[in-house]
Amino acid sequence: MNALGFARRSARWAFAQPWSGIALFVIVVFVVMSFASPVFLTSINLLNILNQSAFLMILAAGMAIVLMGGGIDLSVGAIAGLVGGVAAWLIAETGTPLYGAILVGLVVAVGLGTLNALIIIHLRIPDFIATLAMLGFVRGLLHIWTEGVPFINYSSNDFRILGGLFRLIGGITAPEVIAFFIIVGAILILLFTKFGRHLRATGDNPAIARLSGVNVIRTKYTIYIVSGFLAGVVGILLAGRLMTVQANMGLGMEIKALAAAIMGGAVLTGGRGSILGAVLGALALTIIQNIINLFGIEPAWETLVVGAIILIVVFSGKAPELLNLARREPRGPG
Amino acid sequence: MRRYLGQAFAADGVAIGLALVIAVLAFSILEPAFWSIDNVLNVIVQSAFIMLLAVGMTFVLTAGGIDLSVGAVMGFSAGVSMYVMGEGYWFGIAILAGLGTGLFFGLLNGFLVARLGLNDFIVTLGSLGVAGGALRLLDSIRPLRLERVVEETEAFTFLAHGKVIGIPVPIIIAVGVVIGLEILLRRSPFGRRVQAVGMQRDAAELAGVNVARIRHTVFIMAGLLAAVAGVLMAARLSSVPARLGLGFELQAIAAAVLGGTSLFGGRGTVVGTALAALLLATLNAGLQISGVDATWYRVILGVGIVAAVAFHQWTVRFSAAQAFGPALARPPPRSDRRSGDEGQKDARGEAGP
Amino acid sequence: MTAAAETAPEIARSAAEVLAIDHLVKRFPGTVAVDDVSFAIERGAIHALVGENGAGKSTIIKVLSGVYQPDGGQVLVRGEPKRIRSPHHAQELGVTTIHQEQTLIDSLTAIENVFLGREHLKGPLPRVLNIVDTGRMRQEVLSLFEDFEFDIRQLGRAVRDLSGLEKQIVEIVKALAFRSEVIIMDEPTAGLTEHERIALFRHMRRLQERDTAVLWVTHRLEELEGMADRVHVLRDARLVGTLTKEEVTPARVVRMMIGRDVDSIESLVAEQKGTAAETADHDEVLRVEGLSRGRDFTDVSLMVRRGEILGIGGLAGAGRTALARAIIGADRLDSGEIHIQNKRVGIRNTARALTAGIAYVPKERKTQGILPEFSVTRNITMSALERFRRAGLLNSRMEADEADRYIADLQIRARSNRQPMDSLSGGNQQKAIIARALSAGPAVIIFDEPTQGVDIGAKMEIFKLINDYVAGGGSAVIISSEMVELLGLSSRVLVMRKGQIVGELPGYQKAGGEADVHSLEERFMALAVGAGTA
Repeated sequence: MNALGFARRSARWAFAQPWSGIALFVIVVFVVMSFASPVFLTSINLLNILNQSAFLMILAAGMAIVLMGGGIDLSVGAIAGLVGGVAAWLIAETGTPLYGAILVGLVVAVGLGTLNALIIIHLRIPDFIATLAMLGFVRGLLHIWTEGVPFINYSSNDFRILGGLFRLIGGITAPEVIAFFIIVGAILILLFTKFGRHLRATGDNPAIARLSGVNVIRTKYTIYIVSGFLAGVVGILLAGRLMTVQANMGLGMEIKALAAAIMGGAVLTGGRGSILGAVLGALALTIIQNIINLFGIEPAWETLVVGAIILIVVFSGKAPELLNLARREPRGPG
Repeated sequence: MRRYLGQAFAADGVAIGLALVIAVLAFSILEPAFWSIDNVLNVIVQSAFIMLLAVGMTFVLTAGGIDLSVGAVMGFSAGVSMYVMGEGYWFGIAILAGLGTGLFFGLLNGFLVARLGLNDFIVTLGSLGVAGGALRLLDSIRPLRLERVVEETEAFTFLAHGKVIGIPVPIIIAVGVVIGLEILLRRSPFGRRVQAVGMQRDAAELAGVNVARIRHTVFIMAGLLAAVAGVLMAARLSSVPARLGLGFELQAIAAAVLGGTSLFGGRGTVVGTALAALLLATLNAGLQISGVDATWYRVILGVGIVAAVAFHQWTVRFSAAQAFGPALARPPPRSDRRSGDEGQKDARGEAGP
Repeated sequence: MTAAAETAPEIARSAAEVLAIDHLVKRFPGTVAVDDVSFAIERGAIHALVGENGAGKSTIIKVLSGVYQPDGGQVLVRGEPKRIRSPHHAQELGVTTIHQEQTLIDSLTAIENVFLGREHLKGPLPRVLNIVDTGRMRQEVLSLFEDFEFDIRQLGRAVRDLSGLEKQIVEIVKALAFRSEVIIMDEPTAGLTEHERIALFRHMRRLQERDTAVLWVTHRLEELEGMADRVHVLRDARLVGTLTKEEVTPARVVRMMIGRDVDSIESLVAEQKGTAAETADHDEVLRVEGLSRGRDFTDVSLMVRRGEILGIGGLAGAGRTALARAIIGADRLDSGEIHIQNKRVGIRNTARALTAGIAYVPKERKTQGILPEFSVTRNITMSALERFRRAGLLNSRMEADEADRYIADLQIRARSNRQPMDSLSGGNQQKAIIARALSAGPAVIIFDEPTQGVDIGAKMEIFKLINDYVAGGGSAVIISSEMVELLGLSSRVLVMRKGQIVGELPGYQKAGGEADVHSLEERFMALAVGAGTA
């Protein structure tokens, strides 16, 4: 009886979480795939999925933070590309030591995040336009800089380890470890710090938050800087992983990160969202990619599926309201 | 003096026209080759594609929405018409198939946004993914290019390469579309309603405007115009790359915003958009002809959008303050355009007596 | 004590007074919102502030909570004159306002909301790590929440999942956690169920026991009896009197609130009698039957004849605007029929309503009425664009002619018909919006709070305008929260309460004399607040 009650309560708690839907989705895909493919459930494949998903997980966690704060950042993929390029170039062309190059790369990332915040907050340009423009700007810079020739000859053993090309103890890789610390750190910060609360308050209702004494501007700055920083981290890991940095590195990752975050329960109007959900969303997208690989499906399906998933998630988020259309109109006030 | 200057610059198309003249002069001086008939016509043809996309975007923006899928829809429409050509159908069928593709995405976007009240930004981002993926899928089935040169394909490529009384067909189409839609936006009841919906949606609705229909229609227009650009593109290129249209939405937004259309709705100009599209094409061609890396264009695009929006907000505040006193200068438009769709969240209770 | 409170011109500077206003004046362009008002609030007392809409209640609250600065007089906190600079400053001084609109963040929990912006921190390097001390914060307010019978298992849930009463309690606890000595409550019972209201009153008493004073703004006069220690009555920006606990009866408060500008209303009624024809045998223009929509309104039927003004009265939240919006197709109906000139019409959107012959003049002019960047002309022609087409395109000459005609007829004061709408004054904007409705040539116009936020001069012009329209063969429905306006203009008045029509009254036109007028007003208030029977 007691056990049953506990189970029921746990289930109710779990279903109330923003990440419940995506968790269910991941579980179902796992179960189905383990029957559908003999290879899927092998430890090699699972480790592979985890290894691949680490990059997107970091970006998705960053995107979830931005969305929770009521913003959006479409420039993360481009920033990742540029920062990877900066690190690679410094090592290959100037002989900067690896960690020096990483530091400079991260400084660039933070700088671009700050620039986003400046444009959005002080020029009052809508966040998605500002970061979309930043995407074009940064990606263009990278193209000009590389002149179509990828950066090569910068890779070292350490950098490859960082990129996850070698497994550490227990088969895990460096990006997984880094992603783990970032995710756990982000969850703890959101749960237990003043910033976490102010973030959600700002995203939910900036006017009331300001009246309550929350420094809304500082919070907004922080989210774009954090987002830029995490994009920079991903850029460096990708540079280590790919051993060449092409001008298209990280292309389209912002869409995947956004898809992962909203699959994980984030909404574009801010205030709601979950790091864990976004991470599971990233996992789900990687699994879809893995399935496409396993079955030899045409890779183009992936883009299409991500787009369709976005449409379905947005639609289903509104479905209860739509079913009730006659009773409650989704109109403005009045 | 400052006041008149400010107002003159705020007028539709003046600033952008000036910028266009300066750009053309600068490139002509730098590279005399720039100023040849062939090159000029070429630049205008190049601009036609972005122009068509941007005109559709202008209507969506003026109605207070956004459509990020126009580039991908253009690419997919090009792919579909090319695919149908490759199957050996009559070129008219290919054109219709391409236009039908655009119509479908326009209807879908409009339905989800205007009728179901979903967020336009995220819906069209989803459509972008679907259309972009669909093009690559189509490309993986069969390469999208014209292989046999027969009468049929000539009729098809005439759309892009043909000339009527010395003027390339794409220019005729683009000019026709721009003039027609400028009149539609400025002078027709529909255009007036589009502006009203973008300016103050609730007020427009209570004044008897069928807001859902207007919003649905502008998305359909954007989809159709993207398809027209796509079909022309297919005819011009004779082959459709798998990533055609990628990033074009950014150029379309840039052209609309540079031309003087407000990102916040209520104010739009087709002619301004067309001039801005021409400016972008001039810039692109001029940079190429001057031997500058073509990707500078993307950088300029990013900076240009931010500068244009900032400038626009400044002129709105400036001209309002000049003409009617500082008290009436409108506050900057709502900084979160997304708030309109998924529930209003503003601090109420600050209204005066 | 009792005698002193009756008029209270001189404020006795006693230690018991935590908050007082002294000869307070607040002006807005074109109007005086608060005119020389003085009263004082004692420690641990419940003071009520009542008055009709526009009487100045909300302006006083905004001055006390630091949103507005007074233009004259002063605010005294614990006997000392203070300039309250901001809502934050007000809280520091011990004055917290619980606004009618919620000021909680929906996605945060109760405790997170209470401490938002002033969280307790713990752990090493608190300034750097910023780790919140959830345990201490919970400990600090747990007993408060328990005092107010708040189910503490709810403390972990997001505020959006709480009931109306629970949200009020969170607001109260938030106020108390600021160590407030005065809590201003603006319509705290709006949206609460009967049971929750009674619980809230218990909590207000509990505040009193804690020596916290309450300034309570309410429309529901029947709540006052037995609850309020003092009732301050405002009318037309002035304090008309302060009643003690023993003196308060709803009837007495109503009488004090109503009072009126005798000249203007009498001239209005006289004019009405002169122009308004007997309409009882006129054709019916609009008839609705059994309209229902969710919890907004249920089974509403009404009928308007040609040449008639039908008033709809009731308190805020009675469902009047929701009814109007549903009739014009802005919101969907659950059930019911709409007939225009004896033909049943299906109205799915506002465009259909307009073609069917119903126009609407919305309240909330700034967000629902004007198209701010459009010229006066374009605002006026918006609802009748098809009429100005020539060869499919809009003819700006015809539009301008139409606009000029209305600008002259309705005396809209604009520099030209091309002036942007948002640079007009409120009254002129309202006239332009009425012109928009008239220009559509409807069979009936629904006016929702037609004189909200316009000055007295424009008000009388708008009254005349509505009368002229009806005298010219039109029909009107008027929704208004100002009883005098409603009874003065309408030939019949329907009173709504909680989404239902609870009674019908004649307008002043039918009233015989002063005594008749009084009894009419009292019946109206009784119906609206639900204290009596029809």
